[in-house]
Amino acid sequence: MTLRRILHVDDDEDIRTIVEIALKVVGDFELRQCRDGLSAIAEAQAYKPDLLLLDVMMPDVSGQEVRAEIAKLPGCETAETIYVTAKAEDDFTDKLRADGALDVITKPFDPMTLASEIRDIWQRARRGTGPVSVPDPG
Amino acid sequence: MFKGIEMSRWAVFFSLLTLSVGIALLFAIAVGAVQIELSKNGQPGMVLQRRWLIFALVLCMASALYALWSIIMRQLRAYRDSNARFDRRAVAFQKQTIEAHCILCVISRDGSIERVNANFHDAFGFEPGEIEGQSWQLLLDSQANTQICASVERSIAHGGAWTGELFLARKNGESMVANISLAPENLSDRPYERTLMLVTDITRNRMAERDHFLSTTLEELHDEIYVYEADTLHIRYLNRAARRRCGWTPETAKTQAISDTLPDFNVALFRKHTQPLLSGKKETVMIELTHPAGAVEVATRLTKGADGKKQFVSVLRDLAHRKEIEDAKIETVSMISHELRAPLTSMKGSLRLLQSGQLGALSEQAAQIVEIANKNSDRLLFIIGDILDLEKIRAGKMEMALDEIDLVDVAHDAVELNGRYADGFNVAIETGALPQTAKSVGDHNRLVQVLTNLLTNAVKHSPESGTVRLGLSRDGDAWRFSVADDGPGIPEDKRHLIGRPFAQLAGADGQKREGTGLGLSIVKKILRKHGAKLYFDSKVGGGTAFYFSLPDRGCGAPLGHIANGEAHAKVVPLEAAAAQGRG
Repeated sequence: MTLRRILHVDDDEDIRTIVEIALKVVGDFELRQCRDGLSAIAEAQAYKPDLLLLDVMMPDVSGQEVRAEIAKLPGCETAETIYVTAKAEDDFTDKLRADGALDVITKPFDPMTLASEIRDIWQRARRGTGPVSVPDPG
Repeated sequence: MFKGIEMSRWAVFFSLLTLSVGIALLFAIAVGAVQIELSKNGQPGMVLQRRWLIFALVLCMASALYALWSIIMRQLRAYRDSNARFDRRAVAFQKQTIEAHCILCVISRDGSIERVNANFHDAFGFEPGEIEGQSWQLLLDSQANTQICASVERSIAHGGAWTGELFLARKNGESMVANISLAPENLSDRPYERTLMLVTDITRNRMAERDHFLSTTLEELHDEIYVYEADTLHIRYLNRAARRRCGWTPETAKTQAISDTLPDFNVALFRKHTQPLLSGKKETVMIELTHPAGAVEVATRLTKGADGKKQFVSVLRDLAHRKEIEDAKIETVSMISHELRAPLTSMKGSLRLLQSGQLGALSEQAAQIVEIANKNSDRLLFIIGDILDLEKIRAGKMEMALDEIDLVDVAHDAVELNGRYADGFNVAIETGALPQTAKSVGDHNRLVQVLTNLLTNAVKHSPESGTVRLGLSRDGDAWRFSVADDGPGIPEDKRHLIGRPFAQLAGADGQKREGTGLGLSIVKKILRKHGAKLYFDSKVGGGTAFYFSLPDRGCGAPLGHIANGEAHAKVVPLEAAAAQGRG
């Protein structure tokens, strides 16, 4: 499975701008962005992303809830998730990984290496365990 | 006053009668109202000369006055003798009472003890003849107030009376709270020579008052107090909170031992923990225990009981409440950290994109300004990370995975992680010859963090185009890491500050480097969790090297269980290590 479409969700407009440049200009990905969880769920229905790049702490719904809702959508069952969070405590990031995320990128990230980092995580997951299954949150 | 003396009564009566008649006649003659003529046969005879009559009367009155004066004087003497006899009896009785009921010490005006009574021997424990001739100051306890002592001293020297409380010492060293009265022996016919010191032992009263105060105070404490004998571990006292935990009444508590307070109390381990108290190496031992009712912290001290026996006093504090506070604090720090990281992500991201040239080439000056902004946002990030780490360590929230690890991997990861940072300073990191493998026990990531802190520190202090050397070599039964630089070294007068939080020092060249001053503090704390110590060796103008050793797993060196406080390895003060010239 090739990584092409990425759906990025973050309530911080500045970070969205930086991620847009980092992934579209530097990384040459196909990217759509949303400012909150509810619009992301609506966007995912039509966009069918390969990867969700999710902020964790957002005002309306959390990144984990967004992931769970999108995974229920038809055509989005195999969408993988990478969290981008400023909450860098080990126990927290370990929990996110244990819950099925491919990996966690902590803020602040380097926009010049963000694209390559996402590719590395994606390929590592492919190599290591074959297709990564997203557990049914329900 | 004249009762019982018959002769005196009549003598007084006649004397007064004669005196009255004499005075009346003398008055009559003086005024010429009476002419006395004497004749034998009725013829006018020889008239008695008035002056003879006056002479006779004066003589008569003088005799009467003399008699009266003699009587009065005799009665006065008798009265005085009677009083003197009474005084002697009273004094003898007083002395007898004092001897029998008081602790008496007769002190001469030069301060030497002349005599003490039997009660004194009993109270102070001296043998007869042992204290006599010595200075009274031998009786003073170390707690005695010096001003009060001086006041007593003056009273003894000058014969003044004094009453008050004073700390005295028995022969065996025990303190005595004494109520003292000084009664100078003032004899009318002799100068002042000595004073009587009357002592009342009020130690028990004072102790009872103190015990009452202490016990009522201790009873109300939320912390649990355990007082028990050091040798037998038998409980002497538990306060209410302690009894509540154990489910004992005050009476049943006294029949128990401290080992009965926990179902799996390890007496051998307890003895090991308290040994430094008995040997005098430590004043307090802190232990964290997992009690069935939750985590607790126990602080134990060695004291001496009223009977002179050694006893332990343990104060047990429930950590649940403290943990709640610590958790809230961590949560706050974490939140602040998160809130700061989000804007920093935008700042750093923007700067990196500008620097990369992806958005167009920057002029030389613009690139310089962007570099400054980038460097300072990095600095902010370090500060946030360090504060968060320190807070986590302090609250015991930094988990250590004590796994079997290869220290060679730790060294490689640390070098890889810090290569780019060193490049920014135009400094090289060299590892020299590392061993093939170096097995130990510890937390890989935290040890990488330790080396990162030491390496970045060394890089910052290295001269342009300098080299930082990371070494890993054998050190007896351990592996020793070393991080050395060729920087200006640490001035002698600043060495004691190393490792203190926020102690950001200028090097011997007077230049301050960027950083929070928290890095070495974090290093010390992480190493402490590994039971390791941090040493350094520094020469002004000759660079600085930091060292720490970890046990070689191959030698079976054990690493204690941190949560149970069995591996509370001391962090040797760095300055002490420097003094040892370790390295």
